[in-house]
Amino acid sequence: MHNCKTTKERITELLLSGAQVQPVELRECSDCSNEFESLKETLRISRRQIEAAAPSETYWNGYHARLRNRLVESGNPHSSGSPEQSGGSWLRRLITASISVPVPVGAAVLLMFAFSLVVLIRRAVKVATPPTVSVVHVPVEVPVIQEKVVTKVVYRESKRKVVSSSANQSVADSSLAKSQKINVPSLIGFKPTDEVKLTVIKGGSPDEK
Amino acid sequence: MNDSETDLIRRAQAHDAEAFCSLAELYTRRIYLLALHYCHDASDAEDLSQEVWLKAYQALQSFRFDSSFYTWLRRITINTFLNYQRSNFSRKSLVVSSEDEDTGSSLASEETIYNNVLFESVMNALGELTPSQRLIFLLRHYEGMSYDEIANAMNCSAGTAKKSVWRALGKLRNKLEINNEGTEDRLAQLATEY
Repeated sequence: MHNCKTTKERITELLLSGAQVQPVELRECSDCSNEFESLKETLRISRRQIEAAAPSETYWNGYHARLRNRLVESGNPHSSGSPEQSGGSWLRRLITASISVPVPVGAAVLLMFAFSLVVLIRRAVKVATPPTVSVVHVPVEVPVIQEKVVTKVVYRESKRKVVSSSANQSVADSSLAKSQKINVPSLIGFKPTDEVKLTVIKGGSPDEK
Repeated sequence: MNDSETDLIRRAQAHDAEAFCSLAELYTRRIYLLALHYCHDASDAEDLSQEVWLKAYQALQSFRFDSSFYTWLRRITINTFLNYQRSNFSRKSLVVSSEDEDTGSSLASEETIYNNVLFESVMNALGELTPSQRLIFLLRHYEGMSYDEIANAMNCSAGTAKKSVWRALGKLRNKLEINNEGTEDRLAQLATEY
């Protein structure tokens, strides 16, 4: 069954494929037949127009001369050239090279770059600032040597001799004086000691029980 | 690709600039007309088409004879056209009247006027399309590329390419006021009034 809508869509393709004669099914429908003829005329005229727009041969002589000049001015891009030139062009190509990247990938790369940049900056700031000095109070126990003075009365049992004579008394005094003279303790080099050994002798005193 | 063309390509790849110029002369008209219908202006068309040749000259080493030279060149042409700044499009009415154009007489012939009227009508119709739609129409109608080839080259779907061609044809038909009844006569009448 003929369908004008689908047929009209086919007409363009038929004409662009080079069909010049209407298919039989188009002849049965006046609308489609007119569509075919009008589009055929449109394509014919536009094609004729492009041929008419072509400049004359004189123009082409000038065109080719100008093209030749531009090619010469641009230089020989694939010539071997000097090493410096080839190095320069290689560098220029490297600098001006571009690659096409999908937008999401590009955005993700940019975000990652920005994030890492922020992290690096933060780290650098941390390193640059001097460490803050904090005072911490910690109680420390230091042993203090305390000198104790212990006073103790020590009673020493002494043998009381009955001195019979005064002569003996004087001799005794002189011998005591000698012994005292000999036994006088010197304090040089004396060091107090922490430990005091005491010997308590019971019964040393008559009052002691 | 015939032998002489292959020979020219090989010589051009071996740094023979003259060979490249000879190779270019085989296709300059085709590229120029495509550029002319794309950008609507004769001087812009010359710049654009010569830009195509400069790029081809720089990239010639990459041609590996995997396809025809023109297929390779057309790829460069499409990319160059798409990169062409839209702001560069000037909606001048064309007349290919450069200094090189030899009219031969100050009085243009009737045929020249007729062609100018025809050209302006077609250009106005194409001017109502977007640059991409216009290029798709030119590639399909003038270059005979398939929709798949166009879709691949233009980075769009085959459906989009088809719609662009239909739209362009519709605009052209309306601008040319084609109704199967004496279109040629009407254009001739316009040329007389011009």
